[in-house]
Amino acid sequence: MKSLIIIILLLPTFCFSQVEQHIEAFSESYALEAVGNFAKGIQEIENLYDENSYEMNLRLGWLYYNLGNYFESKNKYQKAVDLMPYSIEAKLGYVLPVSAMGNWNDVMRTYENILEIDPQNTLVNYRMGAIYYERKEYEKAFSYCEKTVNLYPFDYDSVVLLGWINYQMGNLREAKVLFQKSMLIKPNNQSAEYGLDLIK
Amino acid sequence: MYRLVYFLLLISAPVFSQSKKDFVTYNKVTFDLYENEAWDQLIITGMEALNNNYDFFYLRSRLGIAYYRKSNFAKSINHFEKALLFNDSDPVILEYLFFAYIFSNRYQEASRLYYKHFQLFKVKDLSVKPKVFDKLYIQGGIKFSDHNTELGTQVDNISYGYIGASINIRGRFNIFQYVGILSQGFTDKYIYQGYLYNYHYYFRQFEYYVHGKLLLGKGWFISPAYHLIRVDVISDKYNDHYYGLSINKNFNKIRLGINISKAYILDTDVTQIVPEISYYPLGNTKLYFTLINTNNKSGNNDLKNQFSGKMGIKVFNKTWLEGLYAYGKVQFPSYDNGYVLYNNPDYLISRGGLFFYHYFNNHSQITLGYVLENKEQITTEDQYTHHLVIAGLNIKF
Repeated sequence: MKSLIIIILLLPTFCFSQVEQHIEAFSESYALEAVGNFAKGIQEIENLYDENSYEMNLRLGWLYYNLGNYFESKNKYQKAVDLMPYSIEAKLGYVLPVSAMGNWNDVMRTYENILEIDPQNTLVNYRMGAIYYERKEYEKAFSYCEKTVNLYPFDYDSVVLLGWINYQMGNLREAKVLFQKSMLIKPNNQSAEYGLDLIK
Repeated sequence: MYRLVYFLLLISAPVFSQSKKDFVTYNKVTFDLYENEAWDQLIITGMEALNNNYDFFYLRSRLGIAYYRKSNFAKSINHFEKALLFNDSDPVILEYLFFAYIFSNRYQEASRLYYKHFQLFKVKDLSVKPKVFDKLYIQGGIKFSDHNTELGTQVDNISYGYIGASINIRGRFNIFQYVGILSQGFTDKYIYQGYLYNYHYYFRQFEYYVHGKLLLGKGWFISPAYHLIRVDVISDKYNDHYYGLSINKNFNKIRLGINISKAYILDTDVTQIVPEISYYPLGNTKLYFTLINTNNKSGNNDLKNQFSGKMGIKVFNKTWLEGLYAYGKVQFPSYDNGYVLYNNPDYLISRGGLFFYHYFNNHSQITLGYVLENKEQITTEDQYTHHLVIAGLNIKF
């Protein structure tokens, strides 16, 4: 009974000191990341690693990614996704190592998963548009990119990409209007100038 | 003391050589080896990475390219196909895989890949492009007979010619058809009122053959075939029919197949089951071997086996030699899913031949061949030989 009381009394102290340790480790890892010492930064977190900690997995995913260890980075981000299945930031982190390994099918599956949670996510819609544009699947690229332009009509990247998608689909009038609009956002941008030259 | 030092040296060597490499090392080393075109070392390191469960698009791509550059197309196909599971639209790997299929004589899979990724391929300046009207083939041959009988029916020479074409439907389905004519001479020798008479006559045949090849995916094919022979003799006309089905599967260096067929020739039911295996030891078509076991049941005859072997070798840059030999007494045998169908009732005892294939360019190829057939006449049990000489021209569009 006596020992139980002692444990109960000491528990908050222990927990408090554990939180303190975590904060210190994270703080150290930020400092080490700032000077490019990712390996040491990883070590700081790994020393206290708890596989059920979303924050630790997310942080390690980022640090491993910067170290170039895409495999371990992917594993850590995957654990973060498993712990918080609706976390969009974890999924956006996950695509970093996966795309660095060239596993674009996995990237697209993850983006589609994000869009199921957040269909209006402009970053993901834009990236899906860009991927399909590269794959020369212009109809699909259009459906994604159109969304981002409707939500952010003054976003240069989306407007100029939609211009190119329309150009590739043969919608020259729409492409011309979009290239001209992109010139309003970013005057003298070479991409739009080149597109307008092609349409002339 | 010396023993201890020696022992320590022995145990330390494997420890150093097995020092665990991580993903960063494998990724960097394989990339550097790729940049330096050190294909052998890249294959060793890359396979080691795979054995340590590091599997990703760029590693498979590097391994595929390394094998491709060493002309081991079978293994390169394996890695490229795995790479595409990670990224099914990479234009570089798709193009490599396309040519790896072409150089492995797997045209239909190349064609399927082309049509599946048409948007990516159509902008490329490929030296070979699949077309709907795929191939035209013309072949002619003469079989010289040495059969010489004093009385009875003597089997004479045979001459034939055919023209065939294949149509490619988006790589998924390929239909090959040919029409041909064949003329077989016979001489009936008989004595009438003390005089020897020779009566010379011909069997004329019209032939139609159709063969479909459906690509099921993952190297699986199913191929139905039909062969009609319309025989025209002086007093009679009749039809022979062949129905066959082949199932094939391509593995890395091995191709497996089985053909099941039923034919109705001269009112005789002929059933064949033919398993076959091809082996490409170098992972390309520079050298290959095929073993075939023809299980043939003709009419009331017992089930008979004919064992065949085929070997092909690339002798010059654009020239192949292929030898074949088959042994086993069979009646009405068929080969290559009914492409060749024997409708003469005489037994075929053995056949051996040599073929010469020469490619002038990507679009035209000639075939010259000689086949020796040992046969036994069904009525007299006379043995005779046919010497077949063939010439063919294959035009690929």
